Amino acid sequence: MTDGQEDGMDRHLRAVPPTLRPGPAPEDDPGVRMTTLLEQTALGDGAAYEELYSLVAGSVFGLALRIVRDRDMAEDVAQEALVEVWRRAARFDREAGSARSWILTIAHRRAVDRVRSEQAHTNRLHAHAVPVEIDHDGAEDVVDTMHGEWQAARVKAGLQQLTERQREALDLCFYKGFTHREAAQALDIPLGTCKARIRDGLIKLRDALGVER
Amino acid sequence: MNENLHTLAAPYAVDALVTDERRAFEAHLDECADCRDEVASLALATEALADSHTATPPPSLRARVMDEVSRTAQLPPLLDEAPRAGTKPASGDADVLSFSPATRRRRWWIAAPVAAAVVAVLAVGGVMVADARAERTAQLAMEKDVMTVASSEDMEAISLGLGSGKVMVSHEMNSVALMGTDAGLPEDGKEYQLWLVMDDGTIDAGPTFTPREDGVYMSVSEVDVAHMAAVALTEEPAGGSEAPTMEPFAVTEMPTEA
Repeated sequence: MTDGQEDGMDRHLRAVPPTLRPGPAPEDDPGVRMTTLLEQTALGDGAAYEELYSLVAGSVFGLALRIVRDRDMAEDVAQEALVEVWRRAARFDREAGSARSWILTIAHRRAVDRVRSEQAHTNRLHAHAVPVEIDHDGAEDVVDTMHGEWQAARVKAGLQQLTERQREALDLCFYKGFTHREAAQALDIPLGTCKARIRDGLIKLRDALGVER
Repeated sequence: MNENLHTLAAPYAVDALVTDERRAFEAHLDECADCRDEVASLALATEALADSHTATPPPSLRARVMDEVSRTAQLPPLLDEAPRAGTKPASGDADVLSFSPATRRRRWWIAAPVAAAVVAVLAVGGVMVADARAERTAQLAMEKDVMTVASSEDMEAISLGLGSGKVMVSHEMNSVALMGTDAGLPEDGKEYQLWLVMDDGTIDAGPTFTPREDGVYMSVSEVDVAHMAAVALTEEPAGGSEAPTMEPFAVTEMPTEA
């Protein structure tokens, strides 16, 4: 209320220099800002969507690229995912998770679907698990780069807490698009073991990152 | 309901289910608060995984997306489609993350009252954020250095006795960086200070730092990594000291070359 923004749902807040805003500026918090933008997008606000695009396109494209490993295909996947964000924005529920998480979930699923539909998938089933790598594909947007590098560094450190086997299972499923059955087969372990490794790995990573909400 | 379905929460979180399984699990999610909690909790990790590969998309992507968006109708909110949360007072709603059931799924898209509600939430959140903001600005450069060390090719991480932390050493960058979580705060008026213990016994003063309220901390220092024997931490008066005024509470020795 303090910001007098109740009448300005579709105002393009980014144009207002933070220092000129009276009082606390919660929209400076990236998470809060993104939630607001996504909710404005749900109301058909194109300007909000454009700003949202700027905040997530690098993450969405980077994730797609990490999974499909081909720039053209990654562009397609990113486009599909970002349009889907627009289309489904009204289905976002802020109480079910963060806006960024919601958007990246859409992108991840699109990328995984694409990888699975590729012929090459059969070959991948026999490929060895490769350690999870962190890519820095020369992001140029400063804010995005900062955010990206920070995340990458934290995740890299977090992943070190996992056992090699947990990392391997997560890598196959999350970054290579294997189903848990395929991963179990590729790693030659029982399905239950595979599920447990995924779960334990995620929990360990989450704890290592110290994220609590 | 189905014992087996519960075990699909983690595979679901990483999108490792085939379509049929996913649908079955999503139907199950509507009825199982435990699985909803589990998925929400694992999503904190998957979000980080998903968000750690930022790459700059070609500028043409924006134009293509905006063009397609301008021709794409938006789906309506879930109100109609969702007998899920609304019609199952027994198991569906009450246990959803302890948010008020009545407001859970229907709020902001009812435009007018909503805007006010959103702003109210923001204002409450703002107090914290404002505190963090000054700190964030000040720390930005430092964080960037930490990231650079953390992501350098030859980074080695060794555990550090402050909360759950790591010393990251990079020869390439000739730097050490600290990064950790769950650190307690130093005594009032004090800060933690990093000390760089060299092979020849000299102790160089490093930067001071204070963990954030949530226990997350970072620090970084340039150092002649090749001749560094250990890093140590002490509590020092705000601003730091020239030489340690107490026995270090944490010492991490560098691994000796084999």
